Amino acid sequence: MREIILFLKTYPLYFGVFLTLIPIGILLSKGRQGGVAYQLLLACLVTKIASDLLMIYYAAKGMNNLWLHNLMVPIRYFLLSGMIYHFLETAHFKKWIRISWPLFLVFIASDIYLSNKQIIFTEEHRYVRYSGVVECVLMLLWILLYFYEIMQSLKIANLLKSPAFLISVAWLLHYAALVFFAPLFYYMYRSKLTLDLGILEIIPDCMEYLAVVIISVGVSFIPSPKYD
Amino acid sequence: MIEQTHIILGMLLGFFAMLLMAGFIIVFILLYQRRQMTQEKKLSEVQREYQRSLLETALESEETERRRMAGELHDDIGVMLSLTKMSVNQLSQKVQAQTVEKEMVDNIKKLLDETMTNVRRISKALVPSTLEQFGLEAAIEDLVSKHAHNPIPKIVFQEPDQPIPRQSPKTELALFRIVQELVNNAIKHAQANRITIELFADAGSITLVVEDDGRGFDAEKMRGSRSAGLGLRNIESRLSVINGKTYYERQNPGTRIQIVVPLVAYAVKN
Repeated sequence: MREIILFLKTYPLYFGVFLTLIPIGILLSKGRQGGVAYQLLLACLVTKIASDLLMIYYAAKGMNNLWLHNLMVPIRYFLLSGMIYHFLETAHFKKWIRISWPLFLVFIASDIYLSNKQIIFTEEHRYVRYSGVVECVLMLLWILLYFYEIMQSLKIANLLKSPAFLISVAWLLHYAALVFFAPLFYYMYRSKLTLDLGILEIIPDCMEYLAVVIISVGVSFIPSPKYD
Repeated sequence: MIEQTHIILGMLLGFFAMLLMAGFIIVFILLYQRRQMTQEKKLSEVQREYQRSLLETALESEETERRRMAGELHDDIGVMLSLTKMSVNQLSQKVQAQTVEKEMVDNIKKLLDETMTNVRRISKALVPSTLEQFGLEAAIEDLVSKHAHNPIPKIVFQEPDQPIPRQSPKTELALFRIVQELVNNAIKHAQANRITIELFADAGSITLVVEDDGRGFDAEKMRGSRSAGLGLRNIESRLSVINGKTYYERQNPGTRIQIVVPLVAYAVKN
């Protein structure tokens, strides 16, 4: 057990990166079967894996990679909220998401600007202060709205075999873990505290792996393309 | 030290929040399935009700058509036959006795009488007027008496000890048509020698039993057969409209069919 925890604590990013290849592979095998929503999910996963690899590369070189993290916040938000947008059917829920896009863009731009006095010097880049949390809260809200909609319409015959539902569950867990744990890790990082939290420390990473596994299961339920 | 405690507490709270989130998803799935089942139940109820109303409308239109046919037979063909008979009578008076013509006219008169009797019989069979006026017991008695001149099969009607309260026209008509169908089946298909009809009521239901000593049949097999099971399906369709139930029992020899419908008192308009 101690070895497993040690492995997961030492190589969480690598493990997560390679795990993300599974849903990407499944999505690529499905082609354009699922529609726009799944294309957006594929784009998000590919961007995520690319940014993760780049971040590893920058870290290995001893360079600041936080600008990549900050850049991923709006990209991830637009792709994932776009996916939920295509899952939703209620017109006014969709309208709220459309309204959130320009507002979030303005918000993150000002957050990056206020967090970093010298934006062009990526070496001195710092974490955005609020955008990550706002992204989490907004995404949780859209996912819960989607849950509300499916509960009202009862259109899905089997929730446990619905790709849209399983993917939403996965992102709900991912964002919930982020919103609950990220501030604590950020606080630890800022206060330069070194704590041995044992199994508690790997929970956020485990939640991310779980989310990727659920996404993989979800996308596997997308009907396969028919070749005539 | 205080900071460390706060962080560990925060992590624990986060952990429990994640557990709550997982619980929320499980509850959501269970609730969704429960709502889905309730909705499916409601939907099948609506479909069943719709099927029932369709069936009821079909049976009603069948009865209306029977009434129209009976009316036309009685009022149009019946009157025409009466007028024809009068003319033939007049002709008969003008034809000399003991001639070939007289014999032909008498033959026409005989055929006309027979046709008129048949038209009256068919008209009566189409609309059971006894049922409307005197109720189910009287109508079954009437039906049995019509078969009385045939020695085989012998049809016996065991009247109820207590008179059965009048039911809605829909219920009485359905039960009467079922008796007609069962008696007809016993004669035509089972080739029975004896048919017993029993009718009785208890506190909450009316029971009709039709028993014969014929060849007997397998109700399940009959239901599966497209053509042979038509009569049984008709019976079950009629019963579904009045919330009745059928019980088939194969005997050696023959069949016992028991029909139970809810007893609902109905005030007959005079």
